[in-house]
Amino acid sequence: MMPRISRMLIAQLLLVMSIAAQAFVLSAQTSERPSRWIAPPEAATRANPLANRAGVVTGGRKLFHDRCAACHGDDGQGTSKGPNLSAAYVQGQSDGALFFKITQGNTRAGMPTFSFFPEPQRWQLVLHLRELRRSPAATIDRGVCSPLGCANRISLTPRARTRAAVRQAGHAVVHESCRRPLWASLAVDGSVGPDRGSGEVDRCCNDRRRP
Amino acid sequence: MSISSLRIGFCCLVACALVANRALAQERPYFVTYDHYLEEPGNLEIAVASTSGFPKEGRGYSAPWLELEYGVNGWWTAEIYLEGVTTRHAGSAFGGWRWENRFRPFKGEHRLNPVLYVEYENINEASRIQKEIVGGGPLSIEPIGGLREEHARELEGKLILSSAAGAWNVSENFVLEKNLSEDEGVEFGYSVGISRSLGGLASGNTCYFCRENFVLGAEAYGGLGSTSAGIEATRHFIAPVVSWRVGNRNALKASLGFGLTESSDRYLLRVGWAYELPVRRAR
Repeated sequence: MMPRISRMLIAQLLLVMSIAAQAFVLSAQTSERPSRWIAPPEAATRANPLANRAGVVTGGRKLFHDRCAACHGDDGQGTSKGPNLSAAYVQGQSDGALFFKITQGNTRAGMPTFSFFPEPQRWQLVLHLRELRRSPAATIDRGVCSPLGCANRISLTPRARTRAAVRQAGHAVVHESCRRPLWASLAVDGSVGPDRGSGEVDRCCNDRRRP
Repeated sequence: MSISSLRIGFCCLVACALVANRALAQERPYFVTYDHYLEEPGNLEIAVASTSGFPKEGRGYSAPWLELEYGVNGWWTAEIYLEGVTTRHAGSAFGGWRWENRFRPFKGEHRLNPVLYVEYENINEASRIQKEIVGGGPLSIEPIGGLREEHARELEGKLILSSAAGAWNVSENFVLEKNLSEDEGVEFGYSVGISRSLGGLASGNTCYFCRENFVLGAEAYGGLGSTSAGIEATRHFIAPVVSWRVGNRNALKASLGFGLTESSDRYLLRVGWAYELPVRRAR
């Protein structure tokens, strides 16, 4: 009897230890900074088939409220669980890219896969995301130019600035002439890569000017 | 724990869920088959369900269970089950508990999405929820009182493969189970499921009977024998399933399984209700 009990105890102990070890390893992997999340060109160039259909955006609004607001907030302004969807680095992406990301998810960063939604509903969500662009919390003034070329002047909300570690009191100026746009260096959790904080942008651009 | 205390516990959880202010509902239509969609991070899903069996011989039974499913993060979902069983005029019993973990190794959506499943079960031979069917042989028809004294600690693994093809979901599960309390070898099982949402465009209004709230499908599951007893007298079922999303908080689902072999029960009727509660929602 004793050997059988001890064998069971050992088996249970091994089970618990193996699960704990697996959890530790996996959590260590995901505690790393999420890599850049960019839609492939063939997905990014897809157009929204519902773009000209009036009234369907209300369905997207309902879906967003039901499925997305828990992480991104009712107004899409972001929470501690999900980034601000009205931010420029989101709105700067094509409809196809947003559709791709809704479909694919990014489980490493906590974004679920929503491929179980029928395709028209995912496009409805994209329509609603575009409505967030008109939210007063995020404004984009296009056409600001500098000696380096045209740039976008992006005003982020104070909250988005904090989360994105953009420490400037005023505007975060992003130069399109840099190697890649700001959104490309932003992780899905909304944080900015160490090389692309607002103070680093000019240095990046200056580096590019050098022969 | 008696079956009446289980019922009281279920009622308390239902009441708690009804007074909560907001939740989501994402519920697979299957009862046995798993797909690749994990619980959303930080969400707690509370579900109650029941398996009612109508065997060809012996007494019918009903096996309720309580399921707490938590999205630990985007790639890990953990669940705890508490189960019971009651038979007509032959007593009731607490069937035991299960701890289940599902891990999704790849971050994006692929043609075939694998999920790894590990479960530890501390149950007894009275367990009748049949969340998976493995091995061979019919269910024991001995009285519940005797069966509940026979404890079984089991380790179960599954390879879950699942695909989204248009509006369809196709899922295949391969099961192996080892009883740590007895030397029964390793038992094998399977389940496959296919389902489809009836909705196209989402309506802008809250509606309960819109097509978009319904998912229809079918699943088939059964045992594939064991290393010690071979592949004799296995049980197999095929079951149409339906899921109804009620508002944005609740989901109801039901299935009626038809036994396909001599060892199988004639029917397995399953009904379930799930409520999703975002417990980690910070601004």
